[in-house]
Amino acid sequence: MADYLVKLSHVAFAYGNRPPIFSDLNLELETNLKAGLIGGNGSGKSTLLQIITGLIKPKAGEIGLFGKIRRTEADFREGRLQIGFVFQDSNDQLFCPTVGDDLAFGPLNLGKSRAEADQIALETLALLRLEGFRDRATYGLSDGEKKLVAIGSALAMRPKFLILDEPTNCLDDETRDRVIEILLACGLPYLIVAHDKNFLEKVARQRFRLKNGQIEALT
Amino acid sequence: MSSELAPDQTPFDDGLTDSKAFLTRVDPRVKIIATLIWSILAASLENLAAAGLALGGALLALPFASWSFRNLAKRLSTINFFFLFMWLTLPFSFSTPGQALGAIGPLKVTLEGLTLAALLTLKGNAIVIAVIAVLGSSPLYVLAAASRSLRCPEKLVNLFLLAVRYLQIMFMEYARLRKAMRARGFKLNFSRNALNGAVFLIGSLLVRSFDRAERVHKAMISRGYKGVVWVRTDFTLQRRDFVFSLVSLFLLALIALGGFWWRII
Amino acid sequence: MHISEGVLSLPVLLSGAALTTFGVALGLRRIGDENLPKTAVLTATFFTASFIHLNVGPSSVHLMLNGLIGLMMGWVAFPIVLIGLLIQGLLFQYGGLTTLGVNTFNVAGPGVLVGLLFHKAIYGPDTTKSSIFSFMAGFLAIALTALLVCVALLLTNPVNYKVAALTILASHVPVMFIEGAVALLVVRFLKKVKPELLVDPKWANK
Repeated sequence: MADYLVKLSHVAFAYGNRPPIFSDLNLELETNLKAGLIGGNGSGKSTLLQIITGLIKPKAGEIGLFGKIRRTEADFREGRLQIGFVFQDSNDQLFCPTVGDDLAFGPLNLGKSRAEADQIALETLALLRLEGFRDRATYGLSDGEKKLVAIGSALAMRPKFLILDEPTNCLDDETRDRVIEILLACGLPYLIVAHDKNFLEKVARQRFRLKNGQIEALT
Repeated sequence: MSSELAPDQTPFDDGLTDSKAFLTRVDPRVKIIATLIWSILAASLENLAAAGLALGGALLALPFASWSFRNLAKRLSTINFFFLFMWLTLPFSFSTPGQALGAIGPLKVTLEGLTLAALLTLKGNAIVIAVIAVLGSSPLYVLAAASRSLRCPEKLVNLFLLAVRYLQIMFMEYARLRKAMRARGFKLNFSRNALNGAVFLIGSLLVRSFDRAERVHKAMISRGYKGVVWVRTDFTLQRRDFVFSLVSLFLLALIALGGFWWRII
Repeated sequence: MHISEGVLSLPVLLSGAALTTFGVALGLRRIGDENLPKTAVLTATFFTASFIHLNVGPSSVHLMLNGLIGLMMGWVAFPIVLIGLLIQGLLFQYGGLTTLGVNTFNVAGPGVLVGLLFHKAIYGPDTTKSSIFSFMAGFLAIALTALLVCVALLLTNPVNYKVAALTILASHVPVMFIEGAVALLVVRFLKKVKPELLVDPKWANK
């Protein structure tokens, strides 16, 4: 079984010709991770999440996922499909016309049949307590509903690891509590970027801080 | 012409499609095929009576889509603005020997010109009203799903689905930019200042859309995107679809007969 | 300027549909899976931008931007314009189904043409050259669109549509200058703000 969830060694990255965000980043995340990641604006939190999933290729260094070093795009794709990535802006994540289509998108790409994918979509809606939302048009949802569906679309992939980029931005208290409930109940390891201290206190057992291109564990 | 959209307005009124209306519940595949045949037939009509009949047929469909008169009038204003233009030019510009009805100043008004203007108006409205009633009663993504199962090129359907989804998002970006500009006193008159305002709007929208597209692509490949935007296409024909088809066929035959009959005489 | 339903003859409508089918097929072949989201979001953006109106005297001009679309997207302009007009037709009834082919060709065709002709000069480092050619791209694209509208009308009815066709052509002369100026300034804006958007889109222009 995988002895680590994520392993970064000597990772360096910069956008274009701008000053580097990371020059020698090392990080190992264990399989029972329940962690929060904090850091100032522009410290590279979102970039880090994308490097982990291979959405951004670093200039140097090695990336391991689920106990296996990943090099090619095919390697990363295989790893990425086991990660549920919840993006900062739900409007980027929900690109299908209806809620049901969005929840079925991942499962269908994983090779599930239409019936299986629809079944997963319904189960996910029940989990989110959004029963009856299957045929709702995505653009008619409230921000809170969009965030829940976005989380659902990640969970529908039946991932082994969840990554959430600022999931509680602009959410009302009720939806925020729903997100906390879902996270605590999902039984999956997760890494959450958040500013909201109160939220992190409830969901994170470990905390990391990203500062000056380095990661430090907070106790 | 269409007036500029207010900053907080988007062109999406999904509330306009009444899910209980008969035409909304008809199979969208049947509706697309029927509207296509209807449009081509109506476009090829050459006499007033048949065109009038076509307009009547199209109007007949309206109550089954539960369209309010106000919304309909708004939607019909653009095309009829064009026809107004034709009414203003055609009657005076008929150069084949026409039957002069009278004159306004130096301009001769011909019967043929008036007839042609009337024919265009009837045909155009017959087509557009049918589109509004029959296709307009389904949300765009349902029509897209239906065209996929009618063997429309898959890539085109994918493109359509994503474009429709991001239309609303880009409108929100547009509205935000407009508000910010308005707060700084911008008006879009054709002055140097206004031109720069429009350019700033377009340029910023383009920059934002590229950034947005990159993020969307990442979100898509994170969920295993392989070139398909899946939508549910589980349509099954019901009895109401046969009723709709029969009525459509009857109307089509009637209008075709009208057109044909009058051409012989 | 889009031609309304009911005005053109069947042969003209069918020819337009055939030309558009050809252009759309060429355009679609150039869109890889990885470029699909980008093309879709840009379609939405150009659609949104076409709602920008500039008031000229008593009347108001809405921007078509087909020169710019052609410059940035090459042959992909065809599917972009087709989808834009289709959505316009379905949501606002600016057009319908039978005129879709003709109208798409009238708008996208000139865009693709100026894109293929001028994109190298415009993407190049020479600022003056780039400005001149981007103005020409915007200007010519609209001029050719107006001309094609006239041709479609005259092919339908060479005698009686003459006045209408000439009026449309004449009324578009100011629009040509506006679109030229807008294309010039938008290209300049993009070169300053995000120059990577104006690199040769090989996938589109091939």
